[in-house]
Amino acid sequence: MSVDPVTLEIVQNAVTAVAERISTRMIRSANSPIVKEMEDCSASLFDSRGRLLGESANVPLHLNSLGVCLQTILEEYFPTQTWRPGDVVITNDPYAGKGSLAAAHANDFLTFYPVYLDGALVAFTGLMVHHLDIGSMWMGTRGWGVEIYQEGFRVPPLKVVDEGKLDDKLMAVMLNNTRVPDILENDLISQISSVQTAGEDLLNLFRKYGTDVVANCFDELIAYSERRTRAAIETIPDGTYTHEEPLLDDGAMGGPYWLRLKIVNKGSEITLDFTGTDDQIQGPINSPLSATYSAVYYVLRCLTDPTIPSTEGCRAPIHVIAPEGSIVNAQKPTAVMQRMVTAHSIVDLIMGALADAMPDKVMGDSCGCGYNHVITADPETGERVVFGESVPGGMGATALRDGLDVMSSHVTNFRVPTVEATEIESPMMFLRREFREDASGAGCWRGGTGQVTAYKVLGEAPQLHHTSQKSKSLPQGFFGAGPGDGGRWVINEGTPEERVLEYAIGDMEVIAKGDTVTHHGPAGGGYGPPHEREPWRVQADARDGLITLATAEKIYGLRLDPQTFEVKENLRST
Amino acid sequence: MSVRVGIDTGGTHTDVVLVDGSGGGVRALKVPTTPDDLSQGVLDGLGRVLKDAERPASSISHFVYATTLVTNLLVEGSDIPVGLITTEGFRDILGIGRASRKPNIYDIQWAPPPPLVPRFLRLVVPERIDYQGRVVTPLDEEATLKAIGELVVAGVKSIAVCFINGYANPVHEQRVAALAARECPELNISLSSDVVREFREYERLSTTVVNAYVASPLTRHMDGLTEKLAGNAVGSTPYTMRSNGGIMTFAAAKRLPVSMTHSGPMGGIIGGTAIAAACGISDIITLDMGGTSADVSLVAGGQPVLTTRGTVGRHPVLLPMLDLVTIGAGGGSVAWVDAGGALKVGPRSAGAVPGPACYDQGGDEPTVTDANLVAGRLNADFFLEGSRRLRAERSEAALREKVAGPLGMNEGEAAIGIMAIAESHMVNAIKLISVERGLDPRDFTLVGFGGCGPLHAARLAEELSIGRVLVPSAPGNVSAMGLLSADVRHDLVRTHVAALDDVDPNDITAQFEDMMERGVAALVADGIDAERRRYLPAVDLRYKGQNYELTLPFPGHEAGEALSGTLGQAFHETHRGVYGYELPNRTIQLVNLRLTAIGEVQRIPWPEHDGDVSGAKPVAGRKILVGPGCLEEVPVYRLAGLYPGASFTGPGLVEYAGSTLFVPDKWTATFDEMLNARLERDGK
Repeated sequence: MSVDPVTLEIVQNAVTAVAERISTRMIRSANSPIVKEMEDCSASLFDSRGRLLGESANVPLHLNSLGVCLQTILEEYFPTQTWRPGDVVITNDPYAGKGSLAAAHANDFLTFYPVYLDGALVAFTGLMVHHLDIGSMWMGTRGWGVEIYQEGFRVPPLKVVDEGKLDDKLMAVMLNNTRVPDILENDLISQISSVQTAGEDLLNLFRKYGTDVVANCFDELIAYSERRTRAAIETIPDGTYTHEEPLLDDGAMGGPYWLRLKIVNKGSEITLDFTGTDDQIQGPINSPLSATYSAVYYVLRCLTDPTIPSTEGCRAPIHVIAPEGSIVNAQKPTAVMQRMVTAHSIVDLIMGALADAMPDKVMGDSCGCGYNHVITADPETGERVVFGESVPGGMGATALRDGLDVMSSHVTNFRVPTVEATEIESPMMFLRREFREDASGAGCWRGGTGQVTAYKVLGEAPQLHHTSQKSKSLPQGFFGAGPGDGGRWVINEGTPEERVLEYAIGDMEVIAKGDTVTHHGPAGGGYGPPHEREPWRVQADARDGLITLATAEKIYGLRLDPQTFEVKENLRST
Repeated sequence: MSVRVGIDTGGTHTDVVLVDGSGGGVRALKVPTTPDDLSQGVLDGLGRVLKDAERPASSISHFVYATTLVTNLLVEGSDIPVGLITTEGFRDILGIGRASRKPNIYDIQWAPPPPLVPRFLRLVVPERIDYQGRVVTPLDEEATLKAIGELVVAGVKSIAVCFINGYANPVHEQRVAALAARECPELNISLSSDVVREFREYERLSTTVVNAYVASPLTRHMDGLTEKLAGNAVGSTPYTMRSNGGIMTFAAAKRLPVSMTHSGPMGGIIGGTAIAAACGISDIITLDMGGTSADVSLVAGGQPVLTTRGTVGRHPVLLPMLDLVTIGAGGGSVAWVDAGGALKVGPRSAGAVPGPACYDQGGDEPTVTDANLVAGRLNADFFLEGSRRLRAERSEAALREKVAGPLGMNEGEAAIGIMAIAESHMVNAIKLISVERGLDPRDFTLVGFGGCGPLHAARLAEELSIGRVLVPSAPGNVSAMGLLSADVRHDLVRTHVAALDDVDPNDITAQFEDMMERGVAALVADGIDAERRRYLPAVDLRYKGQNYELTLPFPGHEAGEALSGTLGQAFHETHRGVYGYELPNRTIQLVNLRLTAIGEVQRIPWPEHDGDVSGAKPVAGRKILVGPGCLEEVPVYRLAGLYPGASFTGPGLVEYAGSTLFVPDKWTATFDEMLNARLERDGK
């Protein structure tokens, strides 16, 4: 049935606003730096059948991932008739149900709250939060786990709140298994409160317009997103496109391993077939199918129309074939904590496959996934401390502009914590946080530069947990552009004890109190031939110290005056 | 007899109000803004209003100015280069920011704003201070002098200085300022520890750079205006509106230009609050809706709320500013149908040129104003008192072609739909500042003003179940009146992180006393007499481990008692209200001490009207769309036909010089002694 467009738009605004309020409340009351500083949480709203209506995804890899998990819960744990008013269902198990269509990794807890009006189930609210520590081998589930059991305790879908009553026993078990019970307690209670409060917000909408009208609006929101997604896919030329990307490209842990993709685009439907991708590996970079879906949805939104409201309808024309037990569809009991590594490569994989088909829309390769964490002990209290960041880096260039310098790339969108906040909370001192120089992929549009970070560790018994991608297979440029420089880790750089880590990604690395850690993060690939770069941009980059005079001459074909940066000689072929 | 003058320089018009100290009423007028030299428009307006009032410039006892200059400089850019000196190793804090792509995470063509200081003007010097304020590496003075010299050679007139942990110990920043003063006294230096002494280097640095960026042009403007005012025999100390809702002298503004962002909208909040206070109403939500946007703000207990998480032109600014939400829903907001067949309103605006379709200046896109005209709620012949004729047929054509046709509606349905969607955006904005903070909008009175606010205020109130609406008697002049209602205000802050249970009350008292001294000095410098000075101490608290604080008032006298009990209890309760839970056994952490020093300004005598003639007299009747598909003849009133006590029940319209009030069905409008319209919904 048809819905009047005005009510529809109002309902859509309300859905988005409610979802945004869920995650805002969470961020502002959180204790864990991963939530309060990096905003690693996302909220979604669903209709009574668990279909996505709208979301506030702070991190793109959360795109539609709550919905996948809710479907699994409804199908295999709690069918809709078993929910009661006041319930909150929680889980963090990537392997809940039969495959890997639940939590994206065990640190992500998802909570769902059913919304009832006059005894009838009308909607669900949901919130996913990354919790700091859940009793894994190393604090924060860092290190190189090879099976899920090393990645912390897992809660299968359970009613943590049963008809309004908080399950103290479940809470006690969870809090007994973390190194940071105070943080986990606050953040779980905040998470539960936020989905409950959102339920009240949604009820106001039903009371105002009536259940039938709102339910019709929900149907139309979903149909509308599907129409627009189909229209957007129709703009991609029909055809078959293939590409491949390496993981652990520098040979770490027996790599490289390969992601392989065949895209078949026909009319308004698109199929992404990962057949040929290597089997899941002994390590935490395997991606549950839920995370693979999110990465795929993210890229297709970027490539088609980012303004389409994210609802269940966006998924209908997109088909994913991911062989069970491969890196992109992990099966129990393999480890999945760093599935973000694979997700980043999936983004570059799809961009690369479609580059020729839609040259104006794609972006050159980006820095990939970076984690830079130290676990140590506070020298005064002896308490375990973890500090660090998801490393921002250089993004690829596009047909319209340079890649972004030092930015949270693609499927991550974590805010980088400030130097001063980190120094207050952790036994460490920063030495550098700057742009890398002469690292960008050269091009008509250059790639974004990467970040160089250095810090001195002042805590006891420190361990470095490091992840950086693309140290050998560099972030590629498109259409004649050069690659960005890769990632590299150095302990005690510039001292007699200097030690360069053999691989850019790896297991826990023992370091000593007083050591310095330096990470030269990857830069993005360029777009188009460097000789087509407008001279004033080359001059500005040289003046800003982002490229050397030698690069200006050798790569960009412009000999510049070292003082004024005027073009002394144009060496470009005309 | 003395007069008070408020002047608000907006993008297209400069609003001027003059209040006669003898209670002789308010004069208001608009003159065109003169973008090349804003002070010209100020003087034009001042000259005209004095002439109208038959007063000499020397009779001005209080002069307050608001300007969009600072915001414009940041949005449009300035050609005066600014330099930055920071800690070695941290050259790109400004370029890296927080490295987040919010709010456009799926738009791969999105880019953050270019840094206000390009990389070649961001220089570093060896120095380091740790988080406790201890010097780890002494400042390299030779390198500092070299950096200053390089920046001067590059043409820099203004330098921002921000060192890592400079908030904990400003000694190195202060030394840079001393060296610069010695070597190049003409340089304008902004120290982060002076501008905003709080932790989080990116936000502090951004605030400091904004300050440095606008310093030179703003100083030039303020000096020029000061000279012209004096040249025109304005003898009183001129004040300017600042973003915290207070005013400050021009001299203070030149020292802290970043505090002058948003000075126009702040006037609206203060003006709305002052008018409501004169009506005995202290809990309000202000809706200031103009041509391009709508500003909403919540005022509880007569006190506007401050936030320190504002931005200007996408650059973070940590200084306290009145908490307002601006949304792209104004009279000029464009209605359109998107690719999927959904009706949207805004955020794009038709601006002043071409403006709404009915302006007949070549605009063919339907706007909210066009929708109001098609619905009959606007009078084509009485827009700005008839100074601009509106062409309804242009509105109808635009609505038909761009909205009604594609969606299979008639023009009337499209008009009502556009207004409803614009209103839903405003409803969400109001929820953001009320429900979001644990406040129920139904406990508040909606105060609607600006050119378009009164057209939509009652409908919005209905959406939010708000039963009371106040529309001031001169809805177009509220912002300029607000300038004359604002107190002198300085906000001071100290970061002091400690568990509430552990702090030494004597230590806290000493820090407040130190801030008091500075507050007193600032008010003395502003020429505020002792009996007009007031001080509001407050503290920022959070549960240990959280990053975001809640600000609570701090009872200055019984520091010990507050710290040991009452303050903690108040925090738990506030936290439950905002986030839905409390943790009674959790450590509460003190983060910042705040002191607001206020110099009270004499209140405006709001003009009162005599007579008590029951029953209002409409000047005309008009057929308008009062709701979907509901065309009805309604009475149209003007101020001239209204008296204190007059009252009518909607639907009906009131036409003001620069605004129109729509009173929907089931609402009753009653006019008070000041001819403010008090709207109440039946059954409330």
